[in-house]
Amino acid sequence: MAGAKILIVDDDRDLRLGLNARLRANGFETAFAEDGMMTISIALREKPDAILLDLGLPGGDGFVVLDRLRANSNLAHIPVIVISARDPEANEKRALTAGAVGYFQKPVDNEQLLAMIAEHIVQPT
Amino acid sequence: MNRLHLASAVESAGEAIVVTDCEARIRYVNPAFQSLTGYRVEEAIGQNPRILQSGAYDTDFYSDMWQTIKSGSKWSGEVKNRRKDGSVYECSLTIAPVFDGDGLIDGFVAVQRDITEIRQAERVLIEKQRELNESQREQLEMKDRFLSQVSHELRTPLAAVHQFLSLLLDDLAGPINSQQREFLGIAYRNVKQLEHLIADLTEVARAQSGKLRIEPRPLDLERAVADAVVSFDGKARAKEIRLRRKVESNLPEVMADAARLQQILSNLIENSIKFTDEEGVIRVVAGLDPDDDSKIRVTVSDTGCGIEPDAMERIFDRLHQENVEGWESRTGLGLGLYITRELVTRQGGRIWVESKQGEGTSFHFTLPSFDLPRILRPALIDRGELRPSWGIVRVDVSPMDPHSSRGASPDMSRDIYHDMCTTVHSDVDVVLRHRFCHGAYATLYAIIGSGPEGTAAAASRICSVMRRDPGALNGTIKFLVRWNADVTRPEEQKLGVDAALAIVATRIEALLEDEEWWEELNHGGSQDTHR
Repeated sequence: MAGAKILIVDDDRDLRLGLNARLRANGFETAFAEDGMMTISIALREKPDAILLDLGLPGGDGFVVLDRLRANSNLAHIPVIVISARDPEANEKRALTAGAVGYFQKPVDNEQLLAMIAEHIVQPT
Repeated sequence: MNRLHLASAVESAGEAIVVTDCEARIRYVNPAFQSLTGYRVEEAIGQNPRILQSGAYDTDFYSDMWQTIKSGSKWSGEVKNRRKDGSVYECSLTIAPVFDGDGLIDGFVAVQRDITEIRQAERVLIEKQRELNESQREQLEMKDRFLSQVSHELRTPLAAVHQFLSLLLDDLAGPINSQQREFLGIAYRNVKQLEHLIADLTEVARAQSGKLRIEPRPLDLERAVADAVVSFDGKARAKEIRLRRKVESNLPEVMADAARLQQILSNLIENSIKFTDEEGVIRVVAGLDPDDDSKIRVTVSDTGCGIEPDAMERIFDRLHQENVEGWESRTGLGLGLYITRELVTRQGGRIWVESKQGEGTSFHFTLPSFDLPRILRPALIDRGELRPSWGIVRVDVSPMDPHSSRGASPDMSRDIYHDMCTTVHSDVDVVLRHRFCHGAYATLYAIIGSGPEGTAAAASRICSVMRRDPGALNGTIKFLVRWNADVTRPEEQKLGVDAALAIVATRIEALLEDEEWWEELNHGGSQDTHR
């Protein structure tokens, strides 16, 4: 898992910084995207092992991004974990149906998030 | 009273009075008739009262009225009549036969009271009420959206504070000294409290707009109580409070939403811990409700400070806060017990409190026990009659690799349950039981009342739920379907619906437990779905 790369997609700079510090402290590499439009091209360039995706994004709602990730044959295999301030009651099921592997409401529990990342990252052989 | 007085009374009456002969020719009208209808006395005399007909009723209506009064009975009702000028008025009308000295019908007397204004006012009132409801609904929705927006906006900065505090506390920005740790810890605890407050606000908004999601299913109460108690071990120990639990043996399963039940228990236990002194005792006790054996009663009691009698009535109210001298002054928004009551009542139970100041408090709540006939009712009763046939589907989920822990996940099971309940022929099928036996292995039963096509729909629904959740299952789903295997017997049909349903329920219960019965199916008739 060490060295695996996580793409953090969030329009809030502070949250990106916070998650970055947390993930780097746990041995991950990180990459960032701050709007929906950029996410696909950054993902194609960075080839992350997992994507942490906010839902309320400028330039394309998180669900749109999720659909586009799933539709792209180069990106469809990457596990996506949604981290959103939105109510899970109304959004979690929709996100999982759209292909996300997990849904966390902000503020996220770091231990649970790290456990989920570990569970879904495919070990390089 | 002499005739003169009587005539004078009729003349001055506020109601329009018409007297006809037995051929319905008008013989007399009073001044009020003239004011109401616009027909002068001399215009009305000799006419048939049908000059007042508005055309709002068919001939049957009038012939029924005529038959009634001709047979010697009184007719009364509300009718729309037409004035001389063509305008329509509404009146309450009573027509009674008048008898002569020999008891024969000599004519009829009709009394009309104008109710146009009353009806008009009623219509305005109804319209106003509708507008009010509509505006209340809009306000509620607006509040809902506002709260959801506020919750969203609060969570984002809170998430940043939460993350950076925890980074500091985990020494990820360098080592911190013990005082710094203590202060950061206080800040962190307060952030967690804010998180709870925001969650409570959202929950209240849901409760008020009727959007609380509750999915009851049969649950083992012993396990639910144990889970709740264990999760408060640390908090109780920190205050040296002893946390005890006792669940009556052989208790039937409780019909409740697992997550909501945990929420109820957690709210009550947390509340007790808050108001109980160090070295106190909190007990969680569950058993059959002595007042109603179709319910299960759970009591959370403490040896805490108790509640003032005045406050007991308001304790479940929204925004009520218990202010107890010497106790934590900041106790939140006062939403916890309000939410708890909503959660209990919406699951068909009730909640109440008993308390003695200085001695302690007991919160009691009840929830319905698992009642098989009641659950089967929608699937097996059709238009008040027991269906002649029904089917059982059993779904076994097992991991592809028996040593793997990854197979069925609780999330997936919840999804299946929810989807089956809400989308698969929900009017005629019920998911009967859904339980996880050994980690990744799951068994689920559905009773299908909708015919064999219902079975197929149920099966395809389960498959689609599993397929769309790729992380949840890496294994095999096996369907065992028994259709028409056990029709309801004619003699049972004769017993009456409730008794027959109870018999069928007992038989179904036995079949669910009968491994051999299912084993027979294993050798044919089952449908395997591998992923």
